[in-house]
Amino acid sequence: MSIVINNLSKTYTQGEVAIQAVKNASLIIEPGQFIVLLGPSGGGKSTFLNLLGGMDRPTSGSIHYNGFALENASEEELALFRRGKVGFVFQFYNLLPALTAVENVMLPLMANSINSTAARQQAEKMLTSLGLQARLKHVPSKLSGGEQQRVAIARAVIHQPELVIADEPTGDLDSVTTKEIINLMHELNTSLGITFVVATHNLVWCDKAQRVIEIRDGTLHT
Amino acid sequence: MFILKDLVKDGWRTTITIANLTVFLVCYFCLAALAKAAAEYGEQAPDRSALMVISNNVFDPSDSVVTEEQFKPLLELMPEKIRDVSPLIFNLLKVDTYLVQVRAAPLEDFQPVYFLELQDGKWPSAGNEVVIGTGTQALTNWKIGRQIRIFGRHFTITGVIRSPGTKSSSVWMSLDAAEELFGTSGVYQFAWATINPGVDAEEVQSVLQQDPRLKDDFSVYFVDHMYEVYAQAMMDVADVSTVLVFLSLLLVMFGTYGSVFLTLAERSRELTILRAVGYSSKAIRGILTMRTLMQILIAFFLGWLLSAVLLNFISSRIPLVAHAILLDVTISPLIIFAGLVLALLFGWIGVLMPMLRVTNSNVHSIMTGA
Repeated sequence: MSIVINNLSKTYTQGEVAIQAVKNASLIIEPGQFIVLLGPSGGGKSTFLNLLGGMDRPTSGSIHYNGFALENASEEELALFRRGKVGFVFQFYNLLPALTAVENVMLPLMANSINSTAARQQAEKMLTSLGLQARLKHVPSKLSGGEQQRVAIARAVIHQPELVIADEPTGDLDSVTTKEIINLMHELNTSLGITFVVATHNLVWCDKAQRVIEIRDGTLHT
Repeated sequence: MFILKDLVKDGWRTTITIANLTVFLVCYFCLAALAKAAAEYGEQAPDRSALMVISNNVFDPSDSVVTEEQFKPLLELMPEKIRDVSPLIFNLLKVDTYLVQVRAAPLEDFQPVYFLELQDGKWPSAGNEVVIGTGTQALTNWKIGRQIRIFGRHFTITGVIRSPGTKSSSVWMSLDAAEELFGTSGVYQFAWATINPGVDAEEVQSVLQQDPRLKDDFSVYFVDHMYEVYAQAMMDVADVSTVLVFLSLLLVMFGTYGSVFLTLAERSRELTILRAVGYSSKAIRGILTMRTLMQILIAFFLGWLLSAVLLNFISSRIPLVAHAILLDVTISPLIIFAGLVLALLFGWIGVLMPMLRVTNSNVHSIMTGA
């Protein structure tokens, strides 16, 4: 799935002040790429990813996924799009605290109307492949940061999306765990062919990236 | 599937919400039972088998004064239209803290005229003996052989009778005993006349009412009239109770609204995660609705159970009585069914209002609180 971004802009209003978080961004993302979006805090990385994932609407410009225009889609169409095409990994994991690891991973499958038995089997298999077979029934509060992030990654890829968007996925982890997560994502990219777009300010990510795009003050520098 | 887990995990909030809703539903059940009791109060099948002559414009039959003069028009219609005529003494008295109807008539009229049926024990024979109605027994739990004090004098209960078609709590004694007790002679509250089967009862009533000896100072009613008057007085109670029932259901709706609003405010991030992984607004509305309706269901059954216990306790300790008629304040199947449907409906409306925000906002704005 190619992603074509054309003159994308996003402006936020804070009181009477207008802040342009993303300015005229244009980019083509080819299928299967591992892209690192590098930039300082406040540079527009998260805003860009939110626009890319259909979590926010652009002020102007367009994002096309194989002809499907995100900027004009309704909230229901965006939900359908995310359900089928996109996975998200957040900095603070964002796992549901009441659910176990396997139940958190089941969520995207159940959103796609897969029955709970089949969803559970797939989720257990995925978590086992990520080395979490002993943590299947643990709730997030009983998992370490690295384990939680691996569960979040499993949730992001379980439904075989075409694109995974990760916003500072190692921002809250130590250096050893950071490297584990980087390697894991890279392996998923090469084995499953999923496109990864990772926003980070950590240069360690650049070693695995096929493309590094800098974003400063809302402007992309390819 | 995960809804139950979430409710358990969110224990404190779930408990408080259910407790809140349970209180409103207890109010619903108790008020609905009261409304039902008030509406049914005095209800009985029309009874055209007998007429009674009573003083005009009395609400309390104890205030009526009927003498032997008023019996003459009735006796003139015997035996073609009227089969029996009987004097009845009637007083509403407090006996052992209970308000009962003390009735007295000639002993030989108890069965053929007033259709009293002995259920247990024996008929009174001496001047200090009485029988009590089944309604009285239910109210007071008095047993055969017990002594009760009526108007300063002791009487022994010799039997329990059923008085078909009446709901009142009555105590029956012989006419002689009553005249001695109250110090009256030839003064009664009712002149009672049973109508011959096959005779046009309304015509007899009309003839008697037009009789110049009765027309100005007395009224001629069928025997169920008294209950109609009492029932009319209770209609206001029924109406007010019904309004309060509706209010209690509104409280369910607002209670649900508050709970869902709080959940949306405090757990917006979790709901947004669900949207991020692909749950549509409609699906999330469905999840929240199911979650709320489950709480309402639990509260409903708890409320039902608590109300049944409470009403049972009240009726056994302080039964509700008006004009010596026991109010049947119980929860009927209709109250349960209507309550279930309305609680779920009002609860659903309470969920719907705050959920509109979830539908209409995009994911990013919810996450950032914009």
